[in-house]
Amino acid sequence: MNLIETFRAKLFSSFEENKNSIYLGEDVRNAHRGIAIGLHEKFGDYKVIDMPISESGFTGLGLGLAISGKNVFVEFNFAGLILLGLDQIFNQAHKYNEMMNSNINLNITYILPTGTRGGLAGHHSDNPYPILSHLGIRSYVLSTPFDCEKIFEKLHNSPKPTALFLPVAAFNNEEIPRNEYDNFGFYKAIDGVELNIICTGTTYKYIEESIQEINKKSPNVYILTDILFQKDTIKSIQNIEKLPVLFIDDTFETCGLSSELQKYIDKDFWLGSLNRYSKNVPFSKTLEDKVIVGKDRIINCLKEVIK
Amino acid sequence: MDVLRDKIEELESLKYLISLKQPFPNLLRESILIRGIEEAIVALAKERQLLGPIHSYVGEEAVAVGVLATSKENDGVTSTHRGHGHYISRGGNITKLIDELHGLDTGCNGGNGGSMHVADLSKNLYGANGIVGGGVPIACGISLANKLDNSDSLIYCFFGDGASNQGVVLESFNLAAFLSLPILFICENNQFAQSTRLKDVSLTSVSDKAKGFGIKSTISNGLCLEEMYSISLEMSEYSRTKKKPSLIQADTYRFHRHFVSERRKNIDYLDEDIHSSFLEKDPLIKYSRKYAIKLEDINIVIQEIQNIVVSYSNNIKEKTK
Repeated sequence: MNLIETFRAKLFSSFEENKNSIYLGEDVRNAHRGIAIGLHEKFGDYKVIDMPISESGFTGLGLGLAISGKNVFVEFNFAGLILLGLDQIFNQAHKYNEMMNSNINLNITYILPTGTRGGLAGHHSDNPYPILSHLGIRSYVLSTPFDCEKIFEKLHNSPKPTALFLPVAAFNNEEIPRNEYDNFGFYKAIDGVELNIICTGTTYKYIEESIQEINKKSPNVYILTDILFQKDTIKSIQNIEKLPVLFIDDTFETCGLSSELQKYIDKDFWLGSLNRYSKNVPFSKTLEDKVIVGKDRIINCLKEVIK
Repeated sequence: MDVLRDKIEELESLKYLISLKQPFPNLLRESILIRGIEEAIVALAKERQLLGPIHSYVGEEAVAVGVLATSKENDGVTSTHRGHGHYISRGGNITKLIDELHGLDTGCNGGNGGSMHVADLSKNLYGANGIVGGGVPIACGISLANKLDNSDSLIYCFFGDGASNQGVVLESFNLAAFLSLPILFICENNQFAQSTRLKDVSLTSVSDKAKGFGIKSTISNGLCLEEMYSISLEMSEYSRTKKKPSLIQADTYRFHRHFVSERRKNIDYLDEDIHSSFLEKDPLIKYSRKYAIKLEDINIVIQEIQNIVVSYSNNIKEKTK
């Protein structure tokens, strides 16, 4: 199964195991975004609830349900819309237990299809996940089916408001050989030599394809899933091979993940990063390719590094 | 254990007052309780004895008291940044409230929330909120959970006139209406969103806004204890039995400024004549006149409550020096 199929299967299992599960968002009965296909048919109107186009309202509604003990999934049409619901995530859900001095299991998960398949322009192409890192909200960028399996375990064992970014570029990613005991927050996806590439789900597939196209020896490729950089993740990052490190991720270069990651890499090994320019994504493909981190920019970057 | 509430309940003057023949002794007692505590808090804040900004509920007591008198044990309440009155009316621990305002770990929020976040989850008091209107969609979610669980619990969702222009509040009206939620919205129109009058920034009343979403709504006199109680009885019964939202726009007045340490400007938003006319409409004065209770007796109790709270607060200050 690929990433989105695995995610869907785990979602269904979650509903079967927890009778308090609720899935809400815009057009979710119809699974408009292709995530919760079949969920409404199986679990019905009281479990899968269509919301009006009111991101802030239904994000807050989700928190109220979670406070009352429900296991809530809030789907956004695309990740950029999180900016409309951010008050309810950051000011309310994220701060609730601490401000109230309570210990409620807040089972609330925000599902955010992220990135662009091209031609979606400024409002539909963003990867806003570093904003959540900055705000201290537990967030993951899923890259492989392995991540999907692990994240649902995490949600079950440690309930708290969590944002799950599902890169559209990764929906069809297949399972990769991995160690069952890998820390899914940061792990090696491709075993190689001479160079460490660290990436997220928005770029992993392009990197894999680019390496094959360049037809050189493969570098190590690590996937960063836990963008809150929790303890285990930092530990894993600090344990990578002593080789030059290149970070490739399709998020803004300014004040972003790259500078955070750099803190945990020996400065003698830090080569640099390839990021999205901190600009709006243009509509035209030619212009878009210059801003986002697509395959062309990755190939050019790798050739430069190898040289 | 609530040392302060116990001490206040033991006041002979309070016992005397509520022994007088009048229709709502408990409501009067709660109003006086809030007034005394809030005036003490204002005094302490003016002397910089408390942490953070304090938004006083003085003047608005009739709303919290009249409305929440109709609430049942398994009902829930969400509150505003001006939330002490809701907390006290819902039976929140007064000692813990004062502790919280001092930032102590014995406070109702363990010293993590302060004045703008007071909560008591054991009483389904889900918290005041520092973001204007921020608690309204959360109230809808709690209400939806109750509905899905076939509970007869009603959510009392307080917000202010300032919040009524927040997009998320209007979104919440729509959610409550189409999901048919058992929720009673109470808009405390205290005449000012900080310093801005509702009529200066909106052409419609909050009640009319809610009606536009198909919510049963009414405007009532928030300075009248009896009216608040009777209208809340009607609206809560409607929402509880019909499983539908309703809204009360309670026109009231905040007797103090937006927050305690707010200073008067050279050109001030408060019109002295209007201010005085509202002070004359003090529900406690009105109540005393109507039921022939001496205002002097009410003021004695308020002062004694203030003394108890201030003395407790001073002890905290001494201990934490």
